[in-house]
Amino acid sequence: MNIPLNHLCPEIIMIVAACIVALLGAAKSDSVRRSAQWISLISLILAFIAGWRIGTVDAGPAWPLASFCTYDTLLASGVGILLVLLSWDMPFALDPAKSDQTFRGEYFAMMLVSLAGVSMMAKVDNLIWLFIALELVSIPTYIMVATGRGNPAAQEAGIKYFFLGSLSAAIYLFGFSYLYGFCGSTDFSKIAGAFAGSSQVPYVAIIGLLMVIIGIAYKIAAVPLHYYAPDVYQGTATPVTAFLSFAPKAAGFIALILVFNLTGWKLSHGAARAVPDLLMVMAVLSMTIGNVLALLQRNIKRMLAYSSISHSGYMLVGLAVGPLLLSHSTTNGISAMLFYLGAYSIMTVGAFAVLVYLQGKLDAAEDLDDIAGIASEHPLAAACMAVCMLSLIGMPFTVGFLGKLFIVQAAFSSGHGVLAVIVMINAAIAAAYYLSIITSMYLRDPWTPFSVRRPGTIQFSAAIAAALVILLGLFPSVLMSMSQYSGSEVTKMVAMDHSHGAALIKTASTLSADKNVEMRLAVRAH
Amino acid sequence: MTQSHLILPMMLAIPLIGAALIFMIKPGSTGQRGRSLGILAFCCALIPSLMGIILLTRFNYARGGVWQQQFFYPWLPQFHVNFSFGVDAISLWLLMLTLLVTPAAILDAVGKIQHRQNEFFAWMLVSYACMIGVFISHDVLLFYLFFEFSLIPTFFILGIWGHSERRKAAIKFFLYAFAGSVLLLASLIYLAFVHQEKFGTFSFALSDLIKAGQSLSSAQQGMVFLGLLIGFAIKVPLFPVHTWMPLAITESPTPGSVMIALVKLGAYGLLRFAIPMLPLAAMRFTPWLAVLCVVSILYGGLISWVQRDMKKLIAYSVLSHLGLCILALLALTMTGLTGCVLVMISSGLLAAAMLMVMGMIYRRYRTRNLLEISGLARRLPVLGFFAVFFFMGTAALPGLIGFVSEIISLVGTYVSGSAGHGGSLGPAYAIPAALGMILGALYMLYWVAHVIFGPLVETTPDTDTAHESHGHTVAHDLSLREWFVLSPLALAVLFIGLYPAPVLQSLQPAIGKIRHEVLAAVQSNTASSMALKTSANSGNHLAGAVRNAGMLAVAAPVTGGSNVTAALRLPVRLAR
Repeated sequence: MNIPLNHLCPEIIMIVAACIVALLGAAKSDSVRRSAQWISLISLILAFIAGWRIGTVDAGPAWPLASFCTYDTLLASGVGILLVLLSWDMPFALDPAKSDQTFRGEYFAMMLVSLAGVSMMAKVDNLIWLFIALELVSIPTYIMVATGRGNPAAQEAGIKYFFLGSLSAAIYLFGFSYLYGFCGSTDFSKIAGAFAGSSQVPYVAIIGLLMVIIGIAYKIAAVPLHYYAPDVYQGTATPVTAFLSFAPKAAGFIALILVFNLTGWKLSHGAARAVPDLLMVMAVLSMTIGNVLALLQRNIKRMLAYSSISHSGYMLVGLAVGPLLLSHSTTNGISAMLFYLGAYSIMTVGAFAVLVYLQGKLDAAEDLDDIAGIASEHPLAAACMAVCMLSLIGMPFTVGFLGKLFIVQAAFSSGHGVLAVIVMINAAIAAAYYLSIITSMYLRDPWTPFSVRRPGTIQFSAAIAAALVILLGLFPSVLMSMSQYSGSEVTKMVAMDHSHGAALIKTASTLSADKNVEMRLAVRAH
Repeated sequence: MTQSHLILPMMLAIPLIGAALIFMIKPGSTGQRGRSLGILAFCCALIPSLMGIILLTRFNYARGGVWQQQFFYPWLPQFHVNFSFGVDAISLWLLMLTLLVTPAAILDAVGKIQHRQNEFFAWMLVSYACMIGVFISHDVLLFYLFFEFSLIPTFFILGIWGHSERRKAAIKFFLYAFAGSVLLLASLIYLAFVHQEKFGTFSFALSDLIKAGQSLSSAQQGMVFLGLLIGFAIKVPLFPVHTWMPLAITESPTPGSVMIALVKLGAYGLLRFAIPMLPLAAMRFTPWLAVLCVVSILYGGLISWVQRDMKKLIAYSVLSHLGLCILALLALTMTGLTGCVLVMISSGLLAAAMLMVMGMIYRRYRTRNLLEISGLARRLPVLGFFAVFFFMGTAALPGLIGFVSEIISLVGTYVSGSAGHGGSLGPAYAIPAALGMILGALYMLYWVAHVIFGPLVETTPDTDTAHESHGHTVAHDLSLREWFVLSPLALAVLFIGLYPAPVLQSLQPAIGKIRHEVLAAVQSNTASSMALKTSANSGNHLAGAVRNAGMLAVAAPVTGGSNVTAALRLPVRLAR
């Protein structure tokens, strides 16, 4: 990777912490083993701060994707903090009968490695690195899924997730090989140069791109590789489900952006049109299938799995219209998608945190009946869940509303009114099942007696997520400017490669100067 | 914008702050705590109402078409979305309606809510704030935000404190309204995007969206109008998509149903946004919509005629009145538009008052069934008086607000389409509508005759609202609090009924402005399309001129009758 080592600081912190946690987790003394969560939490906070510091240093034209990388790092470490908090007593859940003996730190080590992969994703500049980053995200999740819970369902989920995951890795690796065949190099700048040099994108490259998209569709749980999601989400332990709904998805979308970045976003004519067309078809199918099937579920984890499929569809809309549009600076599909990614991560992790907090028939609440009437006994947990659900619906004054607003606006701006209307219709369908969760919590009488988990951190993470959902819904400027700079950076860098040189570099540097001012202001305000 | 007035944002903020405070207070097990929570909520609701009086004195009625008392604060500068508040005459009067009725509804609920009182009053205040926000928003996205957000408090009020079918009603209410409003949002975003394409900035300001909408071709306007229409028609509600409303009003606790019946968001949206933004489409859809309105009027009237459930009866009468409201709006005459706004006010006022009277009867007898109680005037003379008063108002007794609003709307519809008045409806729509209103009078009279003046029949009164007398339990007549709840509404009904002139006059500039926007757009479009047609096809010009004359008659009165002849001469001259 061709960037200064200090810019990799957040990833280094995470990996080092992962090694320490893995070692300490094997220690004999119980109290030493129990330090795992704290080390993970502190390392993620440090990584967040480091990422923030790096983002405020003006790297100039030497590092054209600075905002994009910063956004990725902040997202990975920020959401990572919430994830660590909500899986605080995860190792106990492995075997409740003899929890004191079975506490092992490996769960947190896996988590940190995977988050480091997410954080590194935006910084890669080579197909090989891209593959390594993707696998760095995925392989720990295979282990987490299989060991997260000691029942056969988790084993089945683990096997399913592992085999299908390997298959998808094979598919996108095959796609990478076509891209290599197209230009003879795995280096991003060479590939971008080859795309820029060819007036007509050749078929070999198009096939490569299509296979990469299909392979990565598995990571983001988009149709047609979505089949595993409901079973795996339901089968594994809830904290792992929360992790799955964030890490592979974020990594997959960032990888897709990077791959499109190679093509120079000029796929709107000729045979290359197949690529955005495929994305649009995937977007429409993911949204519709996800939402319609979610309507039929009574298991909340399964419902949220389908919801995660549908939200991938919304984000794919942003990605699909992104390449087709460079004329309006404020309405960029990529910016909209990145905003949505941040928004979605927060609200879905918040929802899972509430599920982890509430004790259900299994280790966490899963069924609609498990949460019936919790509003009277656990008002805070219910309120957090309600806020996250309303945000997933897209109600005003939540971050989810703004996410939908930007996606729809980007779709209209690029002339895809039909896509925009499909997004809105899907939002209406989705309201029905999110509402059934709220209905169950607030309008029903308690069904089963429920207890909650003791670590306060679980509820704390739910509360943070809910607060962020509202705060970012009311004052979105931080998330909005970060996603906007990232989006415009990604789409502008390409233009820079093809020789409108100076003017654009200037724009980029003013952009990053603006960003510095703004970020510093934000820091000062805090 | 010369200066920023704080009165409107403060009106919005006070109920919200109050809601947050009340939400945090534990309700406690005693009724006393719930009662004091209710009084606190009432005070929070009363402060904006008092500020409303200040607003009334500050408002410049001569310039009622201009947004006044403006407040501006940028929210999402990248997208030109701003906290931009202001009132013109139309929103002023609708705001006043909200400010008058909501505190009364909250006062009516004090001490009557059995559980989770803190949440109840907090949601009431949030709902109140949303209603205020809707009417004072000058930015269309902001309007949408409040419009949409108002679903949440109503959902909870309906779902937690409602009657037996509350859950079904709440879900149906939410899903209907939400499904409509997402298409509404899509249409608004599209218009904002059109503004960016044609005028350079992405903007949700009302005037910008009107400009953007009017710049579209007739076919494009049709698509966008359909999106807006679905959202607003569900909210109004109009005939085929009305089914959520009777259910929601019936199942809701009294204050909740008052909030649902009070607010005419759909009609307001059509008047303020859909019609001025997309006048060509509106003209094209007018006959279809007007038929739906007439169906709503007749259908609502017929159904309420056979209703045995008192709340359902009111719900369907609201449906019927709103049909008239939209019909008068579509008439596009000055009289009709004035009537439309007046029906919004009168229907809101009367429906709210009647629902509260029903609530008071229900509180005493625990029944809403017409057949189980009658002759209440003997037992509860004061409550009977108020009931008769409000029902007569709804049945359009001259001298009360119902009469004024209905007669103006009907006249406005009747003259629409005739020379010098603009619009395209006419007697064919006005006469069935008038029949519907007669139906309304019929069922109201039937109700009054039976429940108030029939032979005395009552169920066992609820002990909370009754006392022992000669060995019988006898329901109380109105308590002091209920006097305070009903009398302001009664005064408003009587005052506007007797002396509607100030309201009517102050509405004229605002309505004239909307009407001018619509008719000018239609006129310019007709003129240009006619010019095209006649120049391309000069041999056939006479037929073209005759065909278009009809359209022009619609458009002409905007600049006075004399232009009709001038406009008629235009194509002939072009053809030569």
